[in-house]
Amino acid sequence: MNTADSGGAAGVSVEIDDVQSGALRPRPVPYEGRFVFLRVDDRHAGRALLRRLLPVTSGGLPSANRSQDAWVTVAFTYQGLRALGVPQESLDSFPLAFREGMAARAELIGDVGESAPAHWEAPFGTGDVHIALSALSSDAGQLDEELERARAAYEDTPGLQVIWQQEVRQLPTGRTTFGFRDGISHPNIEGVGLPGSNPQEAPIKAGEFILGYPDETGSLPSMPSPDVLGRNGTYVAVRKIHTNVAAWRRYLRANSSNAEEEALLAAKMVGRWPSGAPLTLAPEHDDPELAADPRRVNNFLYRENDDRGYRCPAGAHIRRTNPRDATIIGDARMHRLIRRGTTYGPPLPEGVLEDDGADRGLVGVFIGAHLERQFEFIKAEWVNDGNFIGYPGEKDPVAGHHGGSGTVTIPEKPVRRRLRSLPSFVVTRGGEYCFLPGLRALRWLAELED
Amino acid sequence: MLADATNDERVHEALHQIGTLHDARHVIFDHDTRHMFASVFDGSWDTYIDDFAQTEVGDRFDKVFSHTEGFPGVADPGVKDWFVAHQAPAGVFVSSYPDLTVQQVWKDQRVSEAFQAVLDTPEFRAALDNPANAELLATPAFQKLLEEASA
Repeated sequence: MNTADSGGAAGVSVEIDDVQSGALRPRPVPYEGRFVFLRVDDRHAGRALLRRLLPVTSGGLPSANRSQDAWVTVAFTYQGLRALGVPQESLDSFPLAFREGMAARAELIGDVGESAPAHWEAPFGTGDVHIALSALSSDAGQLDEELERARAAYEDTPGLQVIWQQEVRQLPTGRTTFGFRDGISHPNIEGVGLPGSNPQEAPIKAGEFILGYPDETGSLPSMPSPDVLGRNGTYVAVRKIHTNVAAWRRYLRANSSNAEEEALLAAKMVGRWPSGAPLTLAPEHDDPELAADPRRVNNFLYRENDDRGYRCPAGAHIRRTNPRDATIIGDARMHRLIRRGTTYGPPLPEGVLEDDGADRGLVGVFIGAHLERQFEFIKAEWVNDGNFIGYPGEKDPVAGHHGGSGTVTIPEKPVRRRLRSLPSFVVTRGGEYCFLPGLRALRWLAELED
Repeated sequence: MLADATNDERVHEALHQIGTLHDARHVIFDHDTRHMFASVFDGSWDTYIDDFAQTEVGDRFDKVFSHTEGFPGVADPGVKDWFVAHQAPAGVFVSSYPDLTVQQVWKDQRVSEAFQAVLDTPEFRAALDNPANAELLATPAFQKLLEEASA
């Protein structure tokens, strides 16, 4: 980078070692992990837990040594900060969306019908989720070791209750329950020292992802007070999403006349082939060789060669949730997000079209410094509507809640294809908004008095 | 400064980029002591405010509002709260096309212009008279199109 040209940004260096590893590190491949939710009934017990968790919680970027690729992340809901005895003045300084919590924002983000909070799995949305711990590793042995250290910090402690746990692990195929490789795209964040996955993406200001630094508006984003609590923190939307894989397969089968057409239709809805090769670079058929090349698999934009979406439809899942330079309403750089999907449950065996009743899906983690402008905007404008790409009312074919009446527009010459009567392929089982503090902030929370 | 916005090329470009704004007006009243901004847009008012602040229109907006009391600046993190504190509900609001977004209006206009151009081609007239197309012409969907074509 030419520092002479970067103006105000030249002075920005992110205190990366104070940022929890769980905020910025891409998900390892392969991976195993666990989410643990705790309720704090006694603030002193909660603070004691944090003191014990501090040495377990790591900051900074991945080490060169892959065997140390395991990390524990600690995050708090608004109710959790309150339960720890964070002063009211400080609680009031958090943004509205965080204070209200995800359940209260359900209608805005499209969690309606069978995805509405009334149907959520307990304890999501009850106010009981106070602390969200997660541990993620590329190695089962490493994970167990980290989990053991964390467990020693919270187990059998009066005043603390483990109220929910979820194991996640990569399927043997290395793909999601729908059969597609994920975890490919990661934003290029300025001043962090972690390469983005798309060499053509101009760096995004650090303040879009970490509090305490200028963001894309050119200002310092508002930050919770006191300073020590907010700085180097960020927000996380955690969601458990059930995937209806049988319904997905049946819909593809019903709307195609052979296996080749079926594979293309699925790719048109996702925007990538099962291997991860993007339609924009591989429009005709899957290209596992391209997909295996980290320099090529995410190296593309839309405007120059695919603005009309003849290769990757404007409504495809990956293009909606990261439109890059495509023609849309507004400025895509204001709505970037770090996404980390992790799979739970058994795969539905290849070729099975009937639901086997098993619970399978993903725990999705969506990270950014602006819940409303990033996660909530993306859900409301990009996933659950299509006005921004000229298809008002049309939703994300994969992640949208269609209720049997969804449509998908696939640009084609001479006449676009339009699929109808789309059912929902995903159901929200629950979600929480969390604050993911920096390490100094974690210490501040642990040392609260009275 | 208020007057020249209508014909400014850059403003039109920015409006195209924003893509949700049907119309907007600034009104100075009460002997030049008060200012009203009224606009019609798709979606909720604040959804695109940060995007909007990045454009030429955002700059203009900032300049106009800088003459009001206490305006923090369009890029200020507190600007939404300022707007909320200063908004007044409309007693009556009606629209002739309540379900059409700006995107649809533009699409409809492009389709209409293209359709009119097709109607003006002699080849299209010839295709209508060609018995090979009788089946297509008889479909209710095409009849609707012909109804629009006939007047």
